[in-house]
Amino acid sequence: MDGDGDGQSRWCLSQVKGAVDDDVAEADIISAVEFNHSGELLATGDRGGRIVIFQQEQESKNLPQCHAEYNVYSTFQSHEPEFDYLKSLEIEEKINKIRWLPQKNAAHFLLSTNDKTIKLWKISERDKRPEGYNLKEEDGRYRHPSSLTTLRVPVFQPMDLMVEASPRRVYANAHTYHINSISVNSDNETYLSADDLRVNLWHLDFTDRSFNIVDIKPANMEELTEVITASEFHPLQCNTFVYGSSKGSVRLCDMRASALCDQHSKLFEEPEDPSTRSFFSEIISSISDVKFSHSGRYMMTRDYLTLKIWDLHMESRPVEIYQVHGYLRSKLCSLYENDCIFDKFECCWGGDDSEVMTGSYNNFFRMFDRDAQRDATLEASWESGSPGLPLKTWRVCAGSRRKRNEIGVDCLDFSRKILYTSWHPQDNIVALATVNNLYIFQEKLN
Amino acid sequence: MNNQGTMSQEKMELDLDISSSLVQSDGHLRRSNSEPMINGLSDASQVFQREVLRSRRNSTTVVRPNVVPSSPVRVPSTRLQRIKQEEGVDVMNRETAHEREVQAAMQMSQSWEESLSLSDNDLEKSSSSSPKRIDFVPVSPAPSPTRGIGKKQCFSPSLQILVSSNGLTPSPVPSPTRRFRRSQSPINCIRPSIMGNLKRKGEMETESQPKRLFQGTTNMLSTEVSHLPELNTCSLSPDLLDGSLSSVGSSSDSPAKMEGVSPSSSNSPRTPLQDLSPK
Repeated sequence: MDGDGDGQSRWCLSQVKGAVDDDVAEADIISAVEFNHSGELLATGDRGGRIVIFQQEQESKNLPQCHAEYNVYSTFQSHEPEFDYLKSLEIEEKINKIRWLPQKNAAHFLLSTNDKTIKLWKISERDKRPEGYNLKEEDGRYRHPSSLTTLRVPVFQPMDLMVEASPRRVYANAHTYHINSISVNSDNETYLSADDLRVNLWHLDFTDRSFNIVDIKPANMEELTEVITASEFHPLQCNTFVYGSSKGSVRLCDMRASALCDQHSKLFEEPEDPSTRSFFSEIISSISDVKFSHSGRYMMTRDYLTLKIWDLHMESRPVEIYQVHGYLRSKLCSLYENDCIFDKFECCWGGDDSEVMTGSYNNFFRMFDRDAQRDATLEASWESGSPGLPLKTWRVCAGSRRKRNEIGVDCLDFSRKILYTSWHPQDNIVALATVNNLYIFQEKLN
Repeated sequence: MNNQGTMSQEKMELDLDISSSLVQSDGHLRRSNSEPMINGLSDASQVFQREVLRSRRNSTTVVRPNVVPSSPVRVPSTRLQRIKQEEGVDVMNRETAHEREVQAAMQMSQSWEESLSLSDNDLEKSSSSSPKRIDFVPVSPAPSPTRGIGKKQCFSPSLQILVSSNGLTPSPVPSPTRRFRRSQSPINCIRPSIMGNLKRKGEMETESQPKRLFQGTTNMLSTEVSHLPELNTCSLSPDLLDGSLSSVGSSSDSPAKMEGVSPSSSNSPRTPLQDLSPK
């Protein structure tokens, strides 16, 4: 279903974060984007191991045309590069995933992970500090003992808001392979982490132990045929989780069935069409992301060319299939040559599950309206109109372009890709990352 | 540091669950990477060639890019193929082969530098093989699970800068109206330019700067420095921290000394020796 829109979409550019020059430091490349459960906070992680949290301004109700802006709230170094000298290998500090915990008190908690280590961060505000110590001046210097003549009680004085980020837990040394997913359980006590061959279950309070709940490593490695690529807990049922594989199948597991969930409860796999089989079939069927709908009834999978919506009650085939960039099907050979065929795109649901979106190349992203069965191709570019103006939709054509909103498939820039996306949990605000910029789009309200 | 040499001879008890790593045969020491590699990086990175790798940080173990690769063709492979390849072979042989590759890469880099430099201190060059191993010396100890616990990083949203945990701002205070620009993030602790003044962990702790920026970095450097006390500190700081050089002390050689060892074809006229100068 590759139709084009009517030229204009409901979406408009709200903000762009990051440097605009072309010379990008690798550490600035964004590698994770995630709204929190209220949508007030937006966290991004980058290859340098940093996390930047943006906060939505509160005093926006008087501007009916747009939602509030996001501004930097906190920034901290989450992970640092490490060196495994036993294997002479570097462990990158790149943030692979960020997941927020539901908020229970004034502080915010999030899990961030690199290839090997997961950390629980507490982000809290401080707007008061004690002043009037007896032994120290305000800047920390010690007062001369002879100047102490009276005793006073320190009092709390207001100060500029300060946001503290402190690591509360470090969950390490549980994964032999590289962690690709983390997912917080609905019970708010446990979470899972998945690498290529194993899925581990952690309790948030315990860092020295984790339970292995899925292990697909065969006794004989020659028999290995697929790896785990993504995993997520069900949003409502604390015993259910899914994991996707590099062969295009998704397995749903019930932790009540057994301690080790190697045997799946459901297997979601679309039978392959033998007529379209090619050398690349298996590679492009690899699941790059799996996301439950907010309702918990559906599940969305992203493979290289399509988005598939599955009804959890039907394993045989997806209920909806959306072509993200079907025009690439004839280009798979060159995409294999430049390794783009291995790109792992994320996908996300809109707040009411009626829309889904995912990224593509040339800084395009795709919006699919499930109810109206319409889709749109939009571009994330800081030249694409001033904030507030609706974005124009694009169309990719096989040959050379004929109209203004068209672009030929051979003109696409495959180095500019949108892999990481997140949708506000309630409002129609999406955040996505190009290579080093964070774009925030919102729906026009009037 | 004899870690690299002796590891291959020792009999090690190796857990058969081996990390998903692969040393590429082009002489680069590869980062442990679960993703299919694209020129040594993963995901959105084939745009960024080796120059970007170089500017990354001082702890990168990238050998100089113009080392002649042993296998010029890079074969794209899936994650699955790479895991199978690593784990299919006998563990001991794989580790031995890996160490040999690492050694070869180091020696290749070292011999490249030696052949390019016609200075009189060739003897010093060969005896200074230990500085070249700095790239491979662990820059931080094995990660302790308690490291970093309790160390707060504090940020002031109104001033858009990091502050110390007692609420005081460092001086000078940048303009609060400066818009947030990610590439100028106040957390620049991995940037080589910041490292120029760092010498020892002890010195850092007595400075009045807020602790926020340099926690991990300080640890990394302190390990390096304390393990190699016999090295000239001058040669340590700028070259080493640049991350782009794998040799110490040879960057000051003039390009003229490289005459006659050009790796390029002899057919083309080779006047500009500046092309070959190490960066």
